[in-house]
Amino acid sequence: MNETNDPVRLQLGGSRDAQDLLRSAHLDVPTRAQLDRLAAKLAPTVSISAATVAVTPWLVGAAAVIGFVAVLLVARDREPAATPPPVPAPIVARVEPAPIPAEPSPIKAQTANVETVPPSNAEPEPQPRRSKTAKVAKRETTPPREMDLLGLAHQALGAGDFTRALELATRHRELYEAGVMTEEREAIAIESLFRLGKQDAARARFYAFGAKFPNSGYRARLDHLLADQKR
Amino acid sequence: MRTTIEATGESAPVVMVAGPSFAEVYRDYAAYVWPVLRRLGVRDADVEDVCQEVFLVVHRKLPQFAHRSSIRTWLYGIAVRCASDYRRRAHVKREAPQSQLGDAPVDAPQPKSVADRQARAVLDEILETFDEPKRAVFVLYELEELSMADVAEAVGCPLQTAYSRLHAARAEFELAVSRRRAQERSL
Repeated sequence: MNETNDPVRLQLGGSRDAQDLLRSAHLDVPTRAQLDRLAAKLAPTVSISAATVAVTPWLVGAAAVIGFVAVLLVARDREPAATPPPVPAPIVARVEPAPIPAEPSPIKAQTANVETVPPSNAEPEPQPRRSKTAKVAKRETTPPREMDLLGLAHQALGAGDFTRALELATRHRELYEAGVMTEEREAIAIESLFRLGKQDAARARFYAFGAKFPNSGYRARLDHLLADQKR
Repeated sequence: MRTTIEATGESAPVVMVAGPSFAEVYRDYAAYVWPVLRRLGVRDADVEDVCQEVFLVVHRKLPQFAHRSSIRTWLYGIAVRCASDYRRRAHVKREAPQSQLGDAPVDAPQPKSVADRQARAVLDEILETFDEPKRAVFVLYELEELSMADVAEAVGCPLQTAYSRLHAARAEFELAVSRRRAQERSL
């Protein structure tokens, strides 16, 4: 479509009042500090991206999730700082003690399936908090964020707690069925099901995954995982 | 734990696609994505988190980006989707829309004059009254100055639908502005 067919923008052809209002939007730019803070959060991802040649998309995504979530979880337990944002290096350093989920994993046996995962009213958020400020109290009433849930799920997967990983993926599906990180969730759920010995369920979900995300970077890895079981 | 490539032990090949790296995309476009999220209804206090989500998606999808559109259009499409998801979240719905000025973080940019701040608040309030599809088209065309073809691509609708939404949004916008003007005069 030819751009010249587009109507004259209101900033040029609208009423004077409309023009003034629309121009005020141009004042709305992020500060250097805000962009620096965001860059610090993204730093683990950027460093991985710089040498992408030797890493699979699965690991890139997983590392990104771990990095993001660890930073978020660390930041969550800290009071908001009045000082300027941290530079990337300290952020990465603080990622080191990435918190392990404090919630009890209710099922030890490796026999759980998707249908038997505890109901969603088992809110992971309302845990005792160190701070009793109003801000923290407000947080406790909000559902967990997508990245928080899947970061914990990925940690559980890495730690071999596949039941827990599946629970968290299921919880994510309840809260964010078509969320931004659906692809990551399904990949975690498929691997968890497989590791729990539920090959049929894993395979069925993998087929659905392949139909929905035909170009997913996780496909090759999951395909390989499920194919291993056949052999 | 900082995951590094060397620590993974994986050696599966990765398809290399010509185009900007993630770091380059971030460097060149973060300052564009941030304000557009605000205009799409993400509160000041949450913009950083949603922007982070946008770039997480960008990081995941960048190797598959086919360059059928510009990077900027593609990024705005992701931003529209993330902002939409944000607005659907229960905790956002529970809280009544309010002026963005009230919950601005300490280091949020402050327009220079009272008039500028008022204009920004009024703009936010008017945009808040738009439904999501119209808002996205209006923001991308009138504020971000994409072409309508790019707007349609970013929001994922046919071009004619984008034109219809823009037409309706502009009418709503002018009506809201004239109403406000009338109210101010009557005071």
